[in-house]
Amino acid sequence: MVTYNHVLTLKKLLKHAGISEERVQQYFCSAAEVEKFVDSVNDITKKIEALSPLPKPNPN
Amino acid sequence: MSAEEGLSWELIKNVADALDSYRVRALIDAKQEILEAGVYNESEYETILFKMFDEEQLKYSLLNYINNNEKLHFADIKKFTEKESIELYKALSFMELLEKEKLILVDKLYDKIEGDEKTPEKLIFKDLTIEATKEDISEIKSIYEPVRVIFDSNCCSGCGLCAAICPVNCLEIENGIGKFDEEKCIRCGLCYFVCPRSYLPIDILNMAQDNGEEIKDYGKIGPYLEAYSAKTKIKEISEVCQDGGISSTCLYYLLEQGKIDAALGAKMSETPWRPGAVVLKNKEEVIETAGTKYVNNPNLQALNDIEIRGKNLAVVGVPCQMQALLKSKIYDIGLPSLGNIEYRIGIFCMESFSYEGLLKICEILKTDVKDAKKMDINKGKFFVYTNKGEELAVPIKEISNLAREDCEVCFDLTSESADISVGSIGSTSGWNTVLIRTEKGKQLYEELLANDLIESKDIAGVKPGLPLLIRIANAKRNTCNKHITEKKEKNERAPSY
Repeated sequence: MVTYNHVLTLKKLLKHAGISEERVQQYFCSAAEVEKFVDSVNDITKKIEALSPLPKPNPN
Repeated sequence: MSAEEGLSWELIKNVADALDSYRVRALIDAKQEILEAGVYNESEYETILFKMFDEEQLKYSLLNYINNNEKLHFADIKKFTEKESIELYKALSFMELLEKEKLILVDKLYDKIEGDEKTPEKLIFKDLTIEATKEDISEIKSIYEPVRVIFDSNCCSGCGLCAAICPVNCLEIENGIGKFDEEKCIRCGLCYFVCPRSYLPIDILNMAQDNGEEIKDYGKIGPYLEAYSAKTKIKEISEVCQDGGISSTCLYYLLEQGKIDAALGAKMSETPWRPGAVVLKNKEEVIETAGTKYVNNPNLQALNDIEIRGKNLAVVGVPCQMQALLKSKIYDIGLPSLGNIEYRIGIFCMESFSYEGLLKICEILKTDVKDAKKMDINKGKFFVYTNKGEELAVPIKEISNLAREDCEVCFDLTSESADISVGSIGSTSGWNTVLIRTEKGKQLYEELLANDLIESKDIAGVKPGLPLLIRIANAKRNTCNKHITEKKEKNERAPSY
């Protein structure tokens, strides 16, 4: 529950800074829930791919 | 995606650093405790968190700017303020924090002007150089300890601001002594951050007063625009006031005109001559509170009153309280109710007494505190005027050992951080010396004149006038420096000014 709230706060802070909150996602799945885990990974990949890439560091 | 437009690598790095910052993490970790304590509701909590996050981002933006350059000078800081469109004093305040966190090294260069017998030597600011220490940010330990360290080292001014803003209500100032609840504390460090006796960058405070562009020496009585000798024309006030009644007149006018919704001041409690913090809502209440109280009173503690949140306020208080308010205005972290302080009205203060100290003074004067009608410090003596019409006096020198020890480390006589400072030193009996320090204070004073509420004359024509004030202010500064040096020699904690 603590972590859950931390992530919610983090999402709010990212949004506040102008970074899409979609870049952070949380899912709950136990070690036995293989399918749910795969779906979660696919889900976040899809969400992040929909966003444009973040800028890269300067070469120096 | 339009939501992410204009993102740069620098911004992402600053956001990452700010999220890693101890101060932001402490607030996130303690969210549950803060909401349960009920001091701030969820939306107020978020205001504080977002504001703190913004401030930390700006701070790290300055750090990254410093990291990317070999050696920076004062002019480079000015360039940074243009880039981020922030005030110069704001940028310097971040520099101060980074230096305290040992992330950068700052060296200030001064020109020394040799003094002679008449004029003391003077330091004139020339430039500063900044170098990054390249320490790892995540290795930095928090420098923001709970203010108990200030209580324990006898430096607490008892202003009460820490108790007013503590998100979990674990602090209280009672009779000038701070109480700290270890169990409740969430180690967020907000109290240390707003405390005027933890660290107080005077140069930056002065700069914020006149929004100046340079670091300079403002002399012994701080930055001011104009100085007057004045007294009230309001009859009800002049009958009860200490000297000229100017601070009461300011509140009277501001409340009457609806320019503020409430004012914070000190009022006598049930116990004779023991003041308590009070929220004044109308001009009649102002008249009840007129007159100086010599016992220390944590006025600012009343800022935690939920009733006055979001209302426009004026605060009347002693120098340490004005310092606390100006400091928390510079390091603005969105604390509710601090943002709405419209006017800071400062009182001159040489020292204050504990209630027990005041009782002892009455004992020396062989009178009962209940019989005292008025108290006054004038011409080096402490006067008590009794209800029976007696005038009792004792030289200050004989009672100064009864003053609060914590007040020895205060340098400020004239409330240098106020919008307008009021006192008696320098003016003749029945008049106030008034120092106007900010544009806001100037406007208020002009309005008082325009409404024919006060009588005012230029202090240049008044004897003893400013020379006396400057002399006494200098004496307080010297005593303060002496005590701070003593504390440092004994390896005790002393405020960093």
